[in-house]
Amino acid sequence: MRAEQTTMMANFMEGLRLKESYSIWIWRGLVGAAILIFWQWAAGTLIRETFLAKPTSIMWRLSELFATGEIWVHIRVTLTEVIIGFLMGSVLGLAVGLVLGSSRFLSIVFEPYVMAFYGIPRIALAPIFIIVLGIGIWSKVAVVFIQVFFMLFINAYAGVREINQEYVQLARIMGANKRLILRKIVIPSTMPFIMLGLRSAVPYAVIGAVVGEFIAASKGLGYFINYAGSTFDSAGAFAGIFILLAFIMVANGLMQRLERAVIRWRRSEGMVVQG
Amino acid sequence: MNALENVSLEIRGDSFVSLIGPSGCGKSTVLKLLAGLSRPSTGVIEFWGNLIQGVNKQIGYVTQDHNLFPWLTLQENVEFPLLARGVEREERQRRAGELIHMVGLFGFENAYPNELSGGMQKRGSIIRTLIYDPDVILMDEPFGPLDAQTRLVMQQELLDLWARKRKTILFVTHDLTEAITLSDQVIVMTRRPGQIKGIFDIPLTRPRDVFTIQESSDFHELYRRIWHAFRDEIRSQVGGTL
Repeated sequence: MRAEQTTMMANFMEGLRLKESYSIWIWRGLVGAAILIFWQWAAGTLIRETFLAKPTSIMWRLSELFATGEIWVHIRVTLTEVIIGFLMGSVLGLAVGLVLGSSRFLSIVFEPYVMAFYGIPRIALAPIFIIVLGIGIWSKVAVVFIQVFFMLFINAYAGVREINQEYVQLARIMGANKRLILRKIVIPSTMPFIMLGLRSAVPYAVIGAVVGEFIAASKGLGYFINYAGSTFDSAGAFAGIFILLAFIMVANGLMQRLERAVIRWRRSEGMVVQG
Repeated sequence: MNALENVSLEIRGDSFVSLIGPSGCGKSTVLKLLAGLSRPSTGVIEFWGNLIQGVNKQIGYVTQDHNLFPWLTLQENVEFPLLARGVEREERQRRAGELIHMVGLFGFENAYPNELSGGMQKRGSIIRTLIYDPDVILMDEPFGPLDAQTRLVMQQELLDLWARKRKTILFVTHDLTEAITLSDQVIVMTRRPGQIKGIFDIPLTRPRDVFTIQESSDFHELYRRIWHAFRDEIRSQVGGTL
């Protein structure tokens, strides 16, 4: 199941983060510089520049796009689609995941449908959304929504199923009612899964918006990249991709901060005092 | 196969009773039934003359794992039962602080459970049970996961706590030494289906010192007698289906 894969991925990244140190950053910088230098050389010699723009011309193109302000309208449209779709998708995915996860009956009834829906590549629904909702932002919002919804749904669902039942039983013995159990046991216990879902949903949301714009749009970064590609403007296409990359990195950083703030109790894991 | 058959316990108020038996004999099942976490397949469970229906909120339950909620600080964990019972904030803080002091966890109020050592976690889970003053406390091999030294320390602390806050304690263990050291009464259960094999009074004087009690000849005599009953139950498992 994909939730497990994302957990593994998160663990892997966690392991990498531990090894970060001063010298590692120097090595990373060197690798990055080597790639850029090779790229700069290869474009125009190994590969024609119409196919692969040089990093320097991409930089020029980027500064030009921001200087003229031409790119802002595309950024604004894509951001709007991603943010609206993300908010709606995460709230609903969370709610449905928590409800289905907590009810044995509902989870059994819905399981085959959930699995079937989970099996189809949801990005393939994009053309249908465009037929139904038109080429404006709402069709892309819908694509983003469906991507984020499933990410959150599956993680919240898995999270609720993972709750240590002894915690729930003890809380009941100690006198807690259903509401207190939801507030103090179910939600905090599911929080790491929810945060993981939110974090993994970010790139999916951006992919959703961009693919939607590839198919049919008149504004947005996906439209911009697609247009640049079809006019053999390699520097323009790469400029658009770099903007997307920057966007995903910023969003990821924000998510990590949120995660650290919300699950403080996990951070201290491993530091044990004697006594 | 039934886990238990014809188990009827009568426990004196404010006494410390241990339930001991071979593994898988249903000792823990007795506690689960009393706590209302399991239901008997046939028959009924009565607690103070009342049928147990649903979870039994008159008892305290200390499990093998400390089961402090990882996302709450020690203070919040200890306060939890009072929060659940609608006690005012100041009162909660005062009572939790008192108990935290009593078991020497002062200074760790804001620590999360995974920042505490095994012994500290155990103390936390015991005072979380004491705070709401249940009449009976069920303990399911509470010191099982601890190392041998910490275990002795915790046994002594439990005895001291119990001397100050008299409660009826039903303590499940598979360690006979532990059972004798702590208890007024030791109940030996047979292997599956669990029945009561014998009830032994432990007339050792209190207060007891867990570090020296095992040297006394009275202790040895009691150990020998109970071991005699207990041994047969364990031996019959050898070459069995386990």
